Amino acid sequence: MSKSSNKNGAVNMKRIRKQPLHKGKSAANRPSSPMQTLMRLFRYYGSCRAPFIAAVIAILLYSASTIAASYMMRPLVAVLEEANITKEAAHAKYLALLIGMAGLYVLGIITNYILNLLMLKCAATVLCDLRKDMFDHMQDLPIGYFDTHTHGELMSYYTNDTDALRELMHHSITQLIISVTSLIGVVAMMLVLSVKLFLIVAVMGVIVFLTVKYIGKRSSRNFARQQKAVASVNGYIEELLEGQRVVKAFNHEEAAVREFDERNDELCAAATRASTYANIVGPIMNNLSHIFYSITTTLGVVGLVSTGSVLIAFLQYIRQFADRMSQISQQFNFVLLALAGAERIFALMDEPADIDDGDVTIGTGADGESCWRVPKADGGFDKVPVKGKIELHNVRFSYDGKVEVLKDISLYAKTAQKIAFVGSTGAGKTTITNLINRFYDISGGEITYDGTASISAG
Amino acid sequence: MSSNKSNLNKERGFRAILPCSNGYVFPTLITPVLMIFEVAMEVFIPLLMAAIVDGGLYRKADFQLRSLFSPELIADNTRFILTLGALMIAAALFSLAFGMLGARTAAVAAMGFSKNLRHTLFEKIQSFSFKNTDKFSTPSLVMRATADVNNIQNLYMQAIRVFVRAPVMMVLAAIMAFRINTKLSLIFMLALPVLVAVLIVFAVIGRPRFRIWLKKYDALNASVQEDLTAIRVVKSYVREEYEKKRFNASADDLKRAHIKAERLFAWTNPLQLGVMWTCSGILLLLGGESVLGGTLNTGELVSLLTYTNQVIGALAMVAAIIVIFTMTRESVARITEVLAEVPDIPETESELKVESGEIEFRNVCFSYTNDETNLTLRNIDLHIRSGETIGIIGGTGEGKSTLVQLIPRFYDILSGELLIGGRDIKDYSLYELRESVSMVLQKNMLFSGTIKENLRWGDPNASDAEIIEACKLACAHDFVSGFPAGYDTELGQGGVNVSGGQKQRLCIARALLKKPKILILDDSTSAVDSRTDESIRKAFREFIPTTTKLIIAQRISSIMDADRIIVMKEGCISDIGTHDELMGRSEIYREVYTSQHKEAAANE
Repeated sequence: MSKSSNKNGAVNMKRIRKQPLHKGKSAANRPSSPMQTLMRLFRYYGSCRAPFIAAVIAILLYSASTIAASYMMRPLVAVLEEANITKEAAHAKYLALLIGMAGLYVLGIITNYILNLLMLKCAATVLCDLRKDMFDHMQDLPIGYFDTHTHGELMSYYTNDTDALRELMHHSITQLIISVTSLIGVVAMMLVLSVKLFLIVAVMGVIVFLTVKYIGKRSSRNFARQQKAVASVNGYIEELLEGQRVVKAFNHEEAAVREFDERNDELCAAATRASTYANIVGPIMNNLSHIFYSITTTLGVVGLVSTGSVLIAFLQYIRQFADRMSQISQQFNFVLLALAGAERIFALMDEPADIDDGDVTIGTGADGESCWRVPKADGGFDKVPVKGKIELHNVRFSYDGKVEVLKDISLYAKTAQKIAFVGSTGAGKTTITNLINRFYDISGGEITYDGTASISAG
Repeated sequence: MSSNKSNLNKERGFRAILPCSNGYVFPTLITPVLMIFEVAMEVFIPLLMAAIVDGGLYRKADFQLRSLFSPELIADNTRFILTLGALMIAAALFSLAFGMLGARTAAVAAMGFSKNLRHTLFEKIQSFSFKNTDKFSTPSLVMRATADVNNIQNLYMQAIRVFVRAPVMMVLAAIMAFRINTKLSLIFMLALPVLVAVLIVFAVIGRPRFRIWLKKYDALNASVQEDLTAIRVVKSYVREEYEKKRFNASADDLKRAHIKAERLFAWTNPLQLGVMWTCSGILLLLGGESVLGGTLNTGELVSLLTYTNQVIGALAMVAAIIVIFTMTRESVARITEVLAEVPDIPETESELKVESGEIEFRNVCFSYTNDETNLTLRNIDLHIRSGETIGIIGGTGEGKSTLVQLIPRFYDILSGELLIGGRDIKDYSLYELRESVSMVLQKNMLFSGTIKENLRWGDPNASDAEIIEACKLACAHDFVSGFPAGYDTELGQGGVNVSGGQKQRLCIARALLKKPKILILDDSTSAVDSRTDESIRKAFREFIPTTTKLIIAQRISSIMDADRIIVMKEGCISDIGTHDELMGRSEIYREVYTSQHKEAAANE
């Protein structure tokens, strides 16, 4: 882009306008300031504060009830292994415990339903608000913004980025809160059950963390490569199918297939690598938990714990521990991806809007004709009839702040005059008309309407 | 045609795209096998756990897998526990190895499959005639080659990994559970149909709701797109507030549809938990009785619980896959539809060369719909000598572009005869024909890449000197050498980095590089100013006198000096002659001439 020192302003503008859609996008899969974006996103929950707080409470209750239900395994098994107790007493005690456990389960199911429903409502509300804000702001953006951004780019805020946010707000956030609270609960219960066995789990936690970090790093690098290859292949498909008639006219089919195959092979290689890493996380996490399950069982039986009931309750938590860890690690990537999208959406919202600082309005005069209402210092209005006289005084303009497209233009159009513009492409004919209805702001001089209303530089 | 169609319909389905796994059959088949091994190990572990707890911890006389171990080993408790522990860890390690291998083979198979699918599709589309492409429309073809292929690739991966894994998991876990205790295992066998039935009911009720939601979503995006396209109009007429209000209403609408669709699915999670926990509860209740009664060991009870979770988890996975499967069916149908399309213009195997640029139409009729009652061109009789320059004029939709597109066989004629160099055009191979006929299309396109790369479409082996020569003829050399990078200037996607007039001149240069026998310009100088237009025509006269030139134009000045001018009217040739002849006898021609002349006079 920088090498275009063409003096033709209009052409320059086109260059900026239609740069390939895919180029800039693949680079931005990671948010640059995730915390800030997250906080800004959370501010949107303000409009549904009550359901959101209720949802979080439901999530906490749900996590607590599942953890407590797992813990019930300990007294249950303890009853089963107790020797000096009558059969009837054991039965009664066992049944009582089981009823307690069933109560916890019921609580878990109810809170699960509530949290799902509430989070859905919050997500839908926030998405709706976000969309409205985005669209409202877009309407207020200056025309120059639409020149420099493709429709595809703008549309992707409403499709890709909003979709990622929906996924984040409806599923990922819920999962993350559940996983984190459960993980804390699980760790606490493990410590209560057996500090010695927990040490094994701590080692497991470190190994899992390092593995996730190792794979995650490679995975995201390969994912970026895959995205680039996807963009290359899809861009080629789009372009070649768009130009299918030219391809036919020039017998270019074979060459097109050859070039396509090259890109396609590249994509295949990149995608295979990326999805290998993506696929491999599941089995590794799953089987790491099996390995630690086995180690814990063996060491527990060998004598690290005093009773079977402690061991069995502990074993329940190992699975949960591994599940939560892998869920957090998987959600984490989604969260980053969605936040990157949110960042783009917020960037759009932060784009400076069209400056509407005019104070002259159009109203009807005494005679029913429309007139300019020019405010006076005393709060009243001067009324000037709208005649359609336009004057340009020493107008200067540049699309990009570098190449001046209009240099010192002065001209006028009297009421009801028909003015024609003649000139070659890129000479600035359309530009002048675009300045009159203030699609762009001039950088020097002044335009006046009927001698009263005016727009001027600065 | 109709019998042909029903035949194609049979082909539509997953079977039609299966050949795309060619070259990746081994990883495709080995993946499920690896998955089965992984699952087997995974299911084996709870059994070992039961043995270690019951045999090692509680020192029960009878426990799972007892027959596998010698009495001496069982007597030495520590050695027995460590042996079992080692077995468990080994099983987990095997499971890990199989799982990782399977992850790799699944990736290789799925990505290889989608590569082949994309290739097949792209090659197929390249073989399409204009008529085939018209039928599908370009955006639809792009969608099919990108998004739909992606959907299928995901399904393929899921299919070979989980489709086998989940059912095998279900069966194996169930078998293990039955091995431990038949009576207790029956509990979750009863729960399964309940869960399946509920999931199906949800899918049935949910589908229409989801469809409504997606429709509203599409509508919302379409309205954004519309607003974007018309943003200048919106701003000119100060309609921003109105647009905002309209958008807000449809956003609220979408929100309601979204909640309605997803609300149903807020039930699935608790439901699944409910079934799972009910099973666990009953199992604990009855199992506890058995343990107290001495017919079941504690370790066995715990492993039964694990198996219950495994079976129900696997079932949920199967349900998820079925959902993906039904959603992807649409994509598969859309792709097989393209693959089943028969290229409209069959290739001719022929060594015949085009000898001259002589063109002859003999009573040619043409219809875009192959319908004799809906003709676009009627009874065209026309003889063009080699080297002649022919101008074609007429209003929009009178058949000018259609007429010239028949010459390189972009469309086949319905009846009559079309000859080039004295031979029927169907006698030449498509390649030879299109090498000899160079056409600058009305809807011009350049491609991403440098200017030079684009020009070499005309002749891959063109030297730099030849390229410059062609550009000089097309009056493109001056502005190209004005670019800092000259002929190595990068053009963006679709050639967007040059203006309309510059693009047209580059397209003419590209067509000239082919050194064609026949050169067709379909309204290709509309964005070029009159003076440049004039010098291009002059260059044609002086430097390629033997090439037959057909020039369609709106401006009469572009064709005034042609050897002969064809006036098209309603798909027929209304008149042919020189400028002076037509001025004398063709009313249409005279009208166009005077109207343009008046305009020109008024502008001056």
